[in-house]
Amino acid sequence: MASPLEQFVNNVRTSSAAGHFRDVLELIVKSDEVLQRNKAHLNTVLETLDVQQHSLGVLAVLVAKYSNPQGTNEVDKTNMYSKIYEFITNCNGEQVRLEPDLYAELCHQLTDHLIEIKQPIRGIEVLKKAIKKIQLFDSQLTSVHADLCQLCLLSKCMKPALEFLDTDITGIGSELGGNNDSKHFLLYYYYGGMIYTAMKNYDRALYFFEVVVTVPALVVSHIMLEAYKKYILISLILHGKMLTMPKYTSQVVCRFLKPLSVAYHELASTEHAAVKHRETFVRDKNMGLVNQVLNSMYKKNIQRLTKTFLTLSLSDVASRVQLTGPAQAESYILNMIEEGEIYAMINQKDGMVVFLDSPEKYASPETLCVLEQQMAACTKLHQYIQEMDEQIQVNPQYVKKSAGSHDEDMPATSQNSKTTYSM
Amino acid sequence: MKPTIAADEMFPEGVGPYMDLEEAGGPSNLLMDLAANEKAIHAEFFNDFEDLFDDDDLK
Repeated sequence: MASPLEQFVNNVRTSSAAGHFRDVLELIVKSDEVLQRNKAHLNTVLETLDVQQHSLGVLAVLVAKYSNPQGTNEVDKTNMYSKIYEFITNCNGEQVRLEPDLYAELCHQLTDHLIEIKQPIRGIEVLKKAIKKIQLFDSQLTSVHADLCQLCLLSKCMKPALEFLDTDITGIGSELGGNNDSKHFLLYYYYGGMIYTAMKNYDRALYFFEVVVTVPALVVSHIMLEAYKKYILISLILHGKMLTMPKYTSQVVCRFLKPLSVAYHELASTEHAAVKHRETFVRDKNMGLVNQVLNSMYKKNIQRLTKTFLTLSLSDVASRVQLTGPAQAESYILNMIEEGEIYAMINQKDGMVVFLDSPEKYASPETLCVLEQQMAACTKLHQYIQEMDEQIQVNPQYVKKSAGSHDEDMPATSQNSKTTYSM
Repeated sequence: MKPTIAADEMFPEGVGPYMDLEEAGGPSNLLMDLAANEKAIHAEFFNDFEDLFDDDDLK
């Protein structure tokens, strides 16, 4: 009689050949234990299966091969990269989309392995392929997105993640939604915010951290806490103050995150906090950002001077914004002119700064182009919101729930009134 | 009065009772209290990056 492992292989081959992939799904759920017990023979199993034809079977075998449940011996990870690379490149997308959880698990295993062997950059291209293979549409978030961002951050190679980060998410993969943990959702936005911060795209970074902090929550997530700290710092760099949180922010933010981020709140009110809480900022690996906050505070003060004065000596600038001397003031002003943050000229001879008006008249074709792009983006967003609103209005669960709450809360006469949303 | 617990897709397992700040013994002990009471999640998440935002090394 054939062994359970042989039976597994035969069933995978037969069901796959007949196109009964649902049967293969059931089979791999049932066979997990068999695969775990026969780890030593899984290489032979892989040789008998074809990556393209039996993608689901191969996926289950690879996940079992590289999983390391507690209590088992060290997993043989030689060839792990090449095996998974080959699988992701050649597997059948239609098949693996039926089991996104397992597919994502394999990608997480690869990510962990590359971090362990300190070669994160090798995983970037593979995970990009992996995401594109599993996505149903470009703006769908999968749990592999977070892995890609993590590897980009670790290898300090940020650009490959931008093509995904720049696409606004309009749907999430089934392995992220439903009853699953929010971890990979939060991680994507947290790591994404870090990538935008490193690229100095602070607007977008602030938005990403805001998404993390405003996720509906009833318990504290450490990811949320770290995102909250960075949200404060980016808010200070961009706006010079801490923005008020949106009204839909969960209570846990006020109850727990604020008291856990005292040093950061103090920094918003006094720059002396940078010295006082240096240890905390260094421990959180946020000292670089804190220094950027201090720089931006000086810059904002210099910008304010341009609104009052037409000319000013460098030493006056230094004393008014509390810099150490004219040399430091000159360095700040030169830097700001270069970045287009102010328009000014420095007269080296008498050490005077002449502040100028912006040469931009907003009448160029480029400005018109930017305006058109922004309007198109707004129209598209409006369409999305309308579509989502329509979907929600006809969602049976929503209809049932809203009808229920009307019964309880509303007088009988207003039962037909339509519920509306406000943004 | 404590708010009623709302159904939430993110945390289908529900939550324990809320903890008042006064119980926690100050911010430094708050995190420990949270972890001990299993009211904090994702404590093991990967955040072991270098300081990626230090501009001093660009100068």
